[in-house]
Amino acid sequence: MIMRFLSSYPGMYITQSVLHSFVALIIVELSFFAWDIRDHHAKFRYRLLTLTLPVFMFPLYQVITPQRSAWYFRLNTALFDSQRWLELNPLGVLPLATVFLAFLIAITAVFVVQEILPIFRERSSLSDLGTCKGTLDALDAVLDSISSEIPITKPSICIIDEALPILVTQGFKDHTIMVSSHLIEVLDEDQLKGALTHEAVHIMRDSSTKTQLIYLLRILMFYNPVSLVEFRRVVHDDEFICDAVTVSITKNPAALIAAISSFYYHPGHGSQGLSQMKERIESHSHNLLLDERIQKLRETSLEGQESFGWAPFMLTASVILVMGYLVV
Amino acid sequence: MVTILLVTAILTVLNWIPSLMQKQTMKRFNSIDIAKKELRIHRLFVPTYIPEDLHLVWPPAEIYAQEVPFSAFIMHLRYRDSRDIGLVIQQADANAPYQIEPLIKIKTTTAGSQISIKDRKAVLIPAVCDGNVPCYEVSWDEDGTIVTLICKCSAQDIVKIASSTLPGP
Repeated sequence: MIMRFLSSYPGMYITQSVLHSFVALIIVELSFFAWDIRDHHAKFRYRLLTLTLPVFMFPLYQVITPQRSAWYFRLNTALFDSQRWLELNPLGVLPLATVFLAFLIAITAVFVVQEILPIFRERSSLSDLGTCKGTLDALDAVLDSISSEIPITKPSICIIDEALPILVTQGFKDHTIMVSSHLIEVLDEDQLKGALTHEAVHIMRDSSTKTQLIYLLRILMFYNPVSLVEFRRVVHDDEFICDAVTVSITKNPAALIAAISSFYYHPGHGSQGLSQMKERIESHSHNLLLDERIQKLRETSLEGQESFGWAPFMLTASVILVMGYLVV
Repeated sequence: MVTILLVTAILTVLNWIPSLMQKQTMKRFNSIDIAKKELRIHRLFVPTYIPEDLHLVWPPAEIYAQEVPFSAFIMHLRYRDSRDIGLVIQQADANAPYQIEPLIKIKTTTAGSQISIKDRKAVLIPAVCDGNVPCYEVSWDEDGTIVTLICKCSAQDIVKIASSTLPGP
């Protein structure tokens, strides 16, 4: 039953897209090593290959070679045939096809808990943030100066009465930067400028639209463990890129580092059991990203952005496509 | 270049491991005898007659066989003057959970007719195969084994070849 599903077109799509993602991931990571790619701008583009190509590879190959899924191709042409593994039953208890399917179901459950439920939670928490308490002339002036340096339409600013460090940009066409009163209190003018410039760079790069499009790919690959990891890494890369652009504009990495430091989060002891563990894991991962951003700013604050090499990029994409063709 | 070699090596090793754990899955054999010996196939349907004017080469160019997940034996016969396959002979367990797609692709078929091959009830189907070549398929159930022949030849020729796979006059 399971093997029959995995041998059908939907089953083959699921199996091969996961395998193609793994192959793409390995090739992209080896490319980083081979061409000494450290720039997050370049890494962002390479990682997009891992997220995007596996969505289209199976249907593309089937159009090119309809017999690609038949046993003859698997046996004589393919470098790797997934069915050889899926048909195995090493202990005679559980076929690997069942284990594989159970693994994908577990990944789907993680996707729902990690990616879907927070959307609904975020919606309610954003509405919990309350209404705008207006703006400040000083903040308006900072935004005026940022808008003169970055080619964006000046976003509106909204101060919310909140004791936590909150700085988010909302909207796709008309943007609003929401900043908590807590941040205005703890950050000095330079640090605020750094933080607001970072948000303005997100607007300039159209990060919201990009993230939504990448998220759409992520939804399509809800069962894919590689997409689960790579989606996060792409979103993190976008943060690194915006940090680097911010510093190149403000020329003040120390102020941005100080602003980022104010976002460290240490959960209290209110919650218990699983929810406490979940909160701790989330805050730890959040703090790790902040650590990495600060470290990166310290390392590369004075370096300019590396130029992007299209030749290695196209070569990497070609290798992924050729190797993927031979993985069935 | 190193990346390609490394990924190729990883995939090749990963593809090889299952054959260590499960030896009787589909694989290619150099001769019918070797396949027979290795897989302990009880009964093989091998033709003893192939019309000379078909220009098909014996022994088969390709022999594939498996015991797991079900018993199957496949022979591909090429033409003498080209790389094309002109005759496919397949035998598989009648209770197989899925069919092994023959290498000669049948594009369109017309209604088949019941014929008798040495007292066995068989179905003969006129068809058009890949390359828009007229072809025929004949198949029958031999004590729980489905024997199928697909040949880019006439109905008379495929029936003669099919008959020659069975014992008796």
